[in-house]
Amino acid sequence: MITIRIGAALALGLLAASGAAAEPVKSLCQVELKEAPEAPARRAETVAFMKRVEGQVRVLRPKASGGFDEMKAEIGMELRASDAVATGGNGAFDAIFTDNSTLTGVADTCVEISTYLYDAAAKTGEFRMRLGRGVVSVAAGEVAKSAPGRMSVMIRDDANLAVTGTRIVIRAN
Amino acid sequence: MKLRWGGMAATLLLAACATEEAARLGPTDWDAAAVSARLGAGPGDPWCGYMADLRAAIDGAGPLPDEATRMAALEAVRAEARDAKGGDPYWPFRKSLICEYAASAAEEAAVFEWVTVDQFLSAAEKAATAEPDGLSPLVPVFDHLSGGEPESLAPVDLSNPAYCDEYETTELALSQQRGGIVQAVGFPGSLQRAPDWFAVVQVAYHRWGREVQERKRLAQQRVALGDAPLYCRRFHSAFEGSKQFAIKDNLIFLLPELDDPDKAGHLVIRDAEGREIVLDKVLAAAQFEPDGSEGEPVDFFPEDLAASAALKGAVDRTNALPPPRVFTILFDYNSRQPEAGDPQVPLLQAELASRDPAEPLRIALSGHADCVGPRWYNTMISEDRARAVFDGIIKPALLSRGFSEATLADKKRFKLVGLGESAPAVEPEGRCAPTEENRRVVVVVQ
Repeated sequence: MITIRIGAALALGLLAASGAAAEPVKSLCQVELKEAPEAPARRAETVAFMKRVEGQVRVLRPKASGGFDEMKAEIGMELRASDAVATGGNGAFDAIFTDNSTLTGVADTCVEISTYLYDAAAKTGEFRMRLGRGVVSVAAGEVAKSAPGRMSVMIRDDANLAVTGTRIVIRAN
Repeated sequence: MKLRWGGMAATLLLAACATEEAARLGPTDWDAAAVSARLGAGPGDPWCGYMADLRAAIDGAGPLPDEATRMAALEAVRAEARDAKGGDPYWPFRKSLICEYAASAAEEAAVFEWVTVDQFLSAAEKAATAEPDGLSPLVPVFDHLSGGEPESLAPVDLSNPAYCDEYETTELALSQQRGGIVQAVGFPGSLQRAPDWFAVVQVAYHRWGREVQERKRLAQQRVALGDAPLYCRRFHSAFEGSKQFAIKDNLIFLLPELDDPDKAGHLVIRDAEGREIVLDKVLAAAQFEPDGSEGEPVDFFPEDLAASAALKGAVDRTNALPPPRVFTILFDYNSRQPEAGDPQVPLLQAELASRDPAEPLRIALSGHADCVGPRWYNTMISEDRARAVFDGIIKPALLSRGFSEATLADKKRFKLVGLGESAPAVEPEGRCAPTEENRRVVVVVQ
């Protein structure tokens, strides 16, 4: 049995406000961002796979040329850093990450993997996801255990809801 | 003026079709005022009058009733619940729905939409009597999308009512707003705090669904879409307004650890004002303003969890997910075979015996060595150790479960790696010495 032991966790601090008001940028799940996120360094790398998929579930994968591809999720399908997963009214899914974190989403949910880096040998990494809407349950894996603040779930881009967790349920609208 | 299905001819045709259905009903069954009165909201009912004012304000056609007016009306309908409805805590919400559906049916009757009139009055009947079912309180209107879900789940900006203006986005938004409404009305307290707002939300959502269907038909018939999307806009304004009464949109709570139902992790959250909230008990919860500016601890009870289908669904699902398992198998010095009697081996075998070939099982094996000996040798022996565990323990166990050779040869699903001495479990102190804990294979079963 894996025991998840998480010590005191830190939230991300509020990012310094930038100067001129720029046109708001929207993430895949339509969360308002202060600026466009940088392309993940290892975008094509597999970071998780779909353990269970039920009903209408789509994987949204950004394209280098802008926009995104929308693919039907299937059991065993691999997820990459920067993917988002959206579910419809009868949809639900469970994904397992390479660090043994699990992510469960229920109906009418949209969640993005915004950063995922994991060094399996060193058992360290960084894992940030952003919940656009709906309800997810997150069970923290090795990344969260490696140090406080390494795993966070954001609802707003200004990161003041960022948390590092153990087994948590989060809802956003 | 509202959207209609396609001119007088279509209206008459539908009216004719509806006549057959109507033959099964009495003449007063389509009389909205009579049905409303029978259900407890007669002509001139003050609460229905207040609801009409609220609806007009939400549509931008009048001032919002002031707080004193609202509270006086609410207190009167709550008194009615106590005195005449056996203390039914949902009566104010039921009556709000009756008012809204009866008003909607009267509007539809004025343009001969008899099928719709029947549907709305049936909904009013259900509102008066149905038990809350946890998913769609009192009136199951949220399932009207069944079979009609949009093919795409491309997210829409739900904060901007401009989604109402284009057929493609309004159809997507109709689907994507549903989860938020079900969440909002899923807490028993929400319907008691603001029966008026949530009734407008629910009925506007229902009418928006019909509006989308009408627009779809018109688009297929290449008929101009015409009028503004009234019900989509009404829904958006009402839903935004209702949020002041709901449990806040953003909620976080802790679940118990998998191996101990009384133990939770430790979570520190910091809000934008720098306040820290510490959660360290099972079901300890915090909620935040929609803009994330302010966080606060909130009392959250098993009853709240049970009442919210989405939250309970997430908890049930995550509890039913087999957690990834990790096994560490030790090796004697310079040995390529696991230590005799290693207690982890039967545990691994038992885990594999529960696995089904239909599931997307993934196993990662990392072999390790202690620091004694040359690096190239340690890398080689660590690879051999991982291979020995796979060939000697995992492969036979999974073949006996029905996994195929081809599946077991899939390197994406079954990964072996030799890390030599590079990732010790225990850092050597001072001089390098044989260390049992570092001569190991770590097996991760996902």
